[in-house]
Amino acid sequence: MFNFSIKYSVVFKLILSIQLVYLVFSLFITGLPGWKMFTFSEKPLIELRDEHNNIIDHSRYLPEIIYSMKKPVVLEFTSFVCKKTLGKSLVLNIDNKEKYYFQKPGCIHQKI
Amino acid sequence: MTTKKSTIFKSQDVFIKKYDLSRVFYFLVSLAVLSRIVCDHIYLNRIGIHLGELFPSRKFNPDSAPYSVYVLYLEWALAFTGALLLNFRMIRFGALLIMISYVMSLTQLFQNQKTLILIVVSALFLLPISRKNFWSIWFLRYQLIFIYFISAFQKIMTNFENGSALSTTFHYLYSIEKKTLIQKLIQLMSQQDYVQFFSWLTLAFEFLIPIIIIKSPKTGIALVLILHLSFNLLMKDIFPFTTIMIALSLLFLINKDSPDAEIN
Repeated sequence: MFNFSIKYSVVFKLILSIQLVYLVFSLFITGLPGWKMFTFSEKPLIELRDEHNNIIDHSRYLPEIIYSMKKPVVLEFTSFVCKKTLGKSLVLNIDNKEKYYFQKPGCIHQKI
Repeated sequence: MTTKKSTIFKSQDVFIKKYDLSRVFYFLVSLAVLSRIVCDHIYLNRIGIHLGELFPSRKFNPDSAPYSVYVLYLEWALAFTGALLLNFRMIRFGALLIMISYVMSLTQLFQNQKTLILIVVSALFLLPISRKNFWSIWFLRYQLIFIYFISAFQKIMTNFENGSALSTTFHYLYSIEKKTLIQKLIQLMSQQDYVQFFSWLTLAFEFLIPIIIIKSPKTGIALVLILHLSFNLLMKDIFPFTTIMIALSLLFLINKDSPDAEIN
């Protein structure tokens, strides 16, 4: 079906070389995806409250398994919850250290 | 002892010859693809994500919205058909369908497991494993070597050996585990001394497997099995990764010069 007349050994060596260079770069560049499984695990304790100070069960807005959640993702997630819930605003508490305020319609975070 | 050991290895060789190693390899690759669909459904609740009910935590592009559920079904159908075709020896066509499905999937949710499967099926599409061109096998062998070495170096660079990364993971696993026995096991492993021990052990496995598997493939495969099945006991959603790593490790058993190797 796919009958290429190419020198596979050359192609494979070339791809492997590029891959190795990329992977070495990924070791030093934080945001670059690579084989970084469980090298870093961050799971901050988060608490969400609506404008009536009621706690919102945030787990119902998340997939069953999430091993790590960095702070920018937590903020993005809270913005998502803010848009989904009926209330007008949300307060996010991270590790009892930082507080953020989210208000509809934009649900953009503001540090309190 | 030596006789017993050689008998075990002999029986493994008979298994390889009788059942054709490439067939086992393709079966494991297709099992990884099929189990990825199951894990997507159960643990990630992809349908909920694509319906907009759940937060897509590993979005590839933060500004993009997930595609519709019907496109998700198409993505799964392509992966499912491709996995079946791999088992019917329509390797390139099967690999092509899986490639399309995984490219689609990765635009929605980034996962290392999916990237690895995509690399493997792309290589199979380019050239199914073959003794005539042994680079088709070495290319895939190198994937396993790269994964362990790069992951180990990354762990060293992030002070993984102090146990904090594993400790956070264990605490999270404990909170979501439903089986009491495994919960107790995680609780035991979460103690500081054990966490550090397991961190060092993981590093040792990752550094040693690529070396051992080249020198002694059977011992290397045994270590791969121990490492990944232990991970899998605690983390059910990484079964596809476990399966694909076992499949890659089996490729080290193929001997280029052996006339009785079953790969054509």
